[in-house]
Amino acid sequence: MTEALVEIDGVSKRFGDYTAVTETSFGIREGEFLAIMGSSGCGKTTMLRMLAGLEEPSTGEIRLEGRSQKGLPPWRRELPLVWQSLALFPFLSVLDNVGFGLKMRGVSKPERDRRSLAWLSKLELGEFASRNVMQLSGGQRQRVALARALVTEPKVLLLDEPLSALDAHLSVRMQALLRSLQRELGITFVYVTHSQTEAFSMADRVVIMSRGKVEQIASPQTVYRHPANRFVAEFIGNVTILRGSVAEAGDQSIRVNTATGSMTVSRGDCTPSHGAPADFYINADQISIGGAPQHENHVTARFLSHKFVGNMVTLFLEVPGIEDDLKVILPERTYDCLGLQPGDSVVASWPAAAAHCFGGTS
Amino acid sequence: MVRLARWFGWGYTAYTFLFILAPIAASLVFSFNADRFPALPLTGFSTDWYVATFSDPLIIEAFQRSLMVAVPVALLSTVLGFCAAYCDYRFVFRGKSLFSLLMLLPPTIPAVIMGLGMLSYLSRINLAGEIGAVLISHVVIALPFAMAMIRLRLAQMDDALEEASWNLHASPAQTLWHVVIPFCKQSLIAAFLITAAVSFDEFAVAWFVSGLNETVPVRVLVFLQGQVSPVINAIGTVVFSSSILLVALGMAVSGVGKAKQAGADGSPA
Repeated sequence: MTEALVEIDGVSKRFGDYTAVTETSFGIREGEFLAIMGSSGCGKTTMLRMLAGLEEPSTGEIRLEGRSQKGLPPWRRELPLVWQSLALFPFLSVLDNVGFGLKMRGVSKPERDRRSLAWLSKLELGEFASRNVMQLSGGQRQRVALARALVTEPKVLLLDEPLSALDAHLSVRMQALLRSLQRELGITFVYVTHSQTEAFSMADRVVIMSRGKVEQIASPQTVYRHPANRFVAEFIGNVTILRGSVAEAGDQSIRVNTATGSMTVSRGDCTPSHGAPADFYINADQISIGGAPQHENHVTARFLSHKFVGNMVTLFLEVPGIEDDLKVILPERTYDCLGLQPGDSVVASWPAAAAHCFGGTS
Repeated sequence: MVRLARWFGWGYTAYTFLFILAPIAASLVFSFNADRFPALPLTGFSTDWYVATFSDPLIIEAFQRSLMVAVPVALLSTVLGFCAAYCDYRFVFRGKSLFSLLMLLPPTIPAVIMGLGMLSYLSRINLAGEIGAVLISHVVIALPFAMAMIRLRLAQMDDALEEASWNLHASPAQTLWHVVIPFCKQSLIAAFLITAAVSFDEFAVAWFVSGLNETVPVRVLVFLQGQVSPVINAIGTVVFSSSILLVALGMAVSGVGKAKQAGADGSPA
C-alpha cells in the first residue's frame, strides 16, 4: 500500500449514548478518488465532518501528511468541504463567494479577484462573476461551490453528497466534470454519498460503511464481484445469498449442502471445515436460464417477476427451500428470446466460479 | 348560513379597526381644522396648529429630547439584541431558558409596575429625572423587540453557513463579522427602526423616570392637563406619522410580507 496522505487511526465518535463511528482506521492515498458510501446514519457524514474539524473524534486521531489534526479547529485546517446544501453566502456575489477563502487568508483584493476569476472561467462561470449566487441555476451554484473550495488549491477536497439535489441528467454531467477535474488536478477527493451509481462511476476506491463501521474498502469492481460480507452483498444488491453447511472442502472449491441440494462454490479466502455453516453468494449476472442445465450447479425455479434496469433485466425466481428470491441479471435481448410468463418453470444454472464463500475483505 | 357568518366576521373585523383607528383619524382631521373646538361641521383647512406646535419651545425641546433618547436607545437595543439573539442561536449553556425568559420578560410587565420599579431603582443610583434614566428604561423595554426580530432572521440561516465560513479559514470572530452580520443586515436595520419607534412612543415609564426631562408623550399629557387645544391633535398626528413611518420602513427592510423573495433566496428555513 502506498503512503497514505490522510490517515484515519482508530477513530471513534460518540454523541452522548449514540456511537456514530466505531474504532475506524483506514488511509486515503494521494490523488485518489475515494467514495464513502452507506445508507443514512452509517457514520459517513460524521467521518467527513471529523476530517474537516467540525467534529472532534472521541478517540483516535486523524493525520494529514503525517501531522496530527487533533485539536485543530476547522479554520486552521486545509480540508475544504463542499456541502450538500452548498452553503453559499447569499449576500455575496459569485466572485466574492469564490474569493472568500482567499480574503480570510489575507490575499489582496486584486489578487483574489484574479484567482477567483481564473477558477470561474475554468468551470465556465466567468460571465456570472458579478451576479448574486441566488440568480444562478442549481448546476451553476454547484460549480460555484466547487470553485470556492478549490480556489485555495488544497491537497484534499471533501464532498458531502453534493449531487443529491440535482436531477438525474445534471447529476451525470456533474459526475463527469468531477471525475475529469479530479484527474486533471491530481487532488484527492473524498466523496460521501448514498448513491451506488455515483460512487461506482467516479471512485477509484469505495469505502462501504454501516452502523459506524467500515465493512469493506476496495475498488468498485472488487466490491461488486467480491463483497466482503453479507452486509455489503445485500447493500450492493447484485447477488443472492444462500446458506448451507460444508460437505467437502477441496483446494479450489468446496461442496456445500443447502436446502435445495448440494452445490459447488469457489473457495476464495475462506477456510472451511467439514460440517461448518457456510454462507455464499451467487453473482446474478453469471446465472444462465434455460430448459436444461448448462452449468454444474442448477436449480429448478418458478419465474416470479422482472425489472428493467437500462438494457439489462433483473429476474426474480422462486426456488423451493430458499427464503430469498434468486436474482438473475440478463441482457434485455436474451430475456426477450426466453419469452417467460410469470409462473413458468425454468432451470437456472451457474458455474462454481459464479458462487463465492464470504472471505477476506479485498 | 356560512355566508352570514362570513359577513359577520368581516363586519366584526371592520368594527375593531374602526374602534382603534377612529380616534387617530379624528385627531388627524381636526389637526387641520380651523376651528379651535373639535366639532362638526369642519370650518376650514388650516395649518395654524402645526405652526403653533413648532413655535412652542417646550414642545420643540420635548421633540429634541425624544430624538436624543430614541437614537441611542435604538442603537443600544439593536447591538445588545443581536448579541442576545446570537447567544441564544449559537450556544448551549446552563440556565439558557432562564436567560431567554429574562430577555423577553419586559413587555409582559405592566407599564406602571415597570415605571415604578425603574423609578425606585434609578433614584437609588441617583439617575432618576436624568435623561439617562429614560434611556436605560427604554433600552430595557425595546431590547426584546430587537432580539426577537434578529433571532427570527437567525433561525432562517442554514447551519452550514457558519461552518462553511470556518472551513474557509475564517475564525469565529471573522465569521460573525463577514457572514452572520451581513446575513442579518436587514433585520438589524429593521430592529433599529422599530426600537426607535418604541422609544419615541413610550409614555408610562418615561412619565415615571423623566422628571423635568420630558419626552414628547409626557409633554403631551402635561399639556392636556392644562388646557384643551387643537395643538394636541397636531402633535398627535406628527408622533403617529413618524412612528408609523419607522415601523413601516422597518417592516419593508426586514422583508415582512415579501415571503416570495424570502423563499427564493434559497436559504432553508
